[in-house]
Amino acid sequence: MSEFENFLQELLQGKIPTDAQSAEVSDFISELSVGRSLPVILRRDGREVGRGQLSIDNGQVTFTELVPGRYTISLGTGWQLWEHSLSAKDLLLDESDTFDMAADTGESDEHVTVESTLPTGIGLRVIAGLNFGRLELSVS
Amino acid sequence: MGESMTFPAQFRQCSLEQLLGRVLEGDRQALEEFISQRTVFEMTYTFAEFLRELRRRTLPAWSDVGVVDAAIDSLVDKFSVLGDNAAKDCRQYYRMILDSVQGSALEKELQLAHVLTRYVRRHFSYGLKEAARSGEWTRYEWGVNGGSLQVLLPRTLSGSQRRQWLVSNIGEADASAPGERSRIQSLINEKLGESSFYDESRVTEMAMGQSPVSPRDAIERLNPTQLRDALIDEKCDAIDAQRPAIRSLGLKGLGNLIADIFEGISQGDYRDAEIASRHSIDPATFSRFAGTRWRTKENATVPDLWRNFAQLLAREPLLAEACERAGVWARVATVTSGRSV
Repeated sequence: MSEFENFLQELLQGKIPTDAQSAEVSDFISELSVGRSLPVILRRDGREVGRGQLSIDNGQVTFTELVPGRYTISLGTGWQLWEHSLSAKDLLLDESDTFDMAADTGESDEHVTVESTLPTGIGLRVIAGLNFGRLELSVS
Repeated sequence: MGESMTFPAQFRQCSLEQLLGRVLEGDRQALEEFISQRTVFEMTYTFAEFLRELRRRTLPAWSDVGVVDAAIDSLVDKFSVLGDNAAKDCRQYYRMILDSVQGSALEKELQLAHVLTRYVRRHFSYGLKEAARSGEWTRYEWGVNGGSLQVLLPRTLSGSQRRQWLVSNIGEADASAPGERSRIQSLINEKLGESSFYDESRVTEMAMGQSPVSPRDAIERLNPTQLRDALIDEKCDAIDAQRPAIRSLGLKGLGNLIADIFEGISQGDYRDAEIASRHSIDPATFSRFAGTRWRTKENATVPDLWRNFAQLLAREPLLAEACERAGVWARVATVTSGRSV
């Protein structure tokens, strides 16, 4: 049989639709395998202040130099995942914190002030610092 | 830890899947959010911005701005109109797109962004081709109620006649009403004959011999019976153009012959001579109609039925797309050209 007749036979036996759909899915997968990451955008008071690329498999993005304000985190597609007011208390270490750190108790010196799991399963942490705060996103 | 978290504005916190799910339920605000706020396309542009971008990128390649604008218009109609008529309702596309994604919320978001971008690009390409074919119809900006509606009218109506014709034949129009452009264009088509402007529901209907269906339905209906019936309808409609021996079978006889051929192929038991004999057709005629040995001859012509069948697949964007996805497009294209494969 010629290739075309083979094709006709497959078509007439109802094989093509299934094949077409699975081909479509594998097409997506192959596209995604070369770019399985999404832009993540941090805005303060409506203004973009940071942008990163988050791998959806095992990615991490850190935004630094955070000052008090109203923050939102959105994906590049426009899906707003989080909105939160971060105060100086959330972003800056106070005297007792710095004293504890100086004592070096052997525990982690990160002072996490906000911790949350976003709807997508992305983990979010806000960590206070001496002059600025930072925000970490991670996909595990 | 701070607990002053608040919820974002309505819809902003919805994933694309959730948002389009609301659109499927007929939520116009959700559609508006998708069209104007979601930077889904190439992860950079909203739908509205992406259309402008497609226009900007495409214009240098097309001398006729009207063709590009008509293709853009067709995208607007396809992806932003919530209509009462299923054939003119963007939900048919969104439903199919939503059905195609899977995985975690993040994976779905990423897949939807890719699929939507690719889907709109592909439909823009179809729209360009169709608009180029519909060159006998040109766009006209009809000023009504302080607004305007862009419609397609035959070239034969000159500029000054157009407004007069619309006022006399269409009557009142409201430029601000949703779907008004589509309604007016349908009325024009009814009165002046169908423009060949791309209408997926119409070509699907023609191919499937059925009521308008969604693209996904069309692909799912790429099945033996539907295809066979579509081909039988085509051949019978053009029976006068068939070879005399085939014509002499009559409509019923021709339909039975094609059904018999398809049955043989699907059973993997296709024997030219037996079918020819059953339908009282001489072997030479049958060979030219649906023979299997043509490929063995040099410079052989593809038999009528195979060529028509490939043309049927190639002509309809949805079927052609399904063939492309199935990896058989090159074979179909070769057969439509009439060359041996």
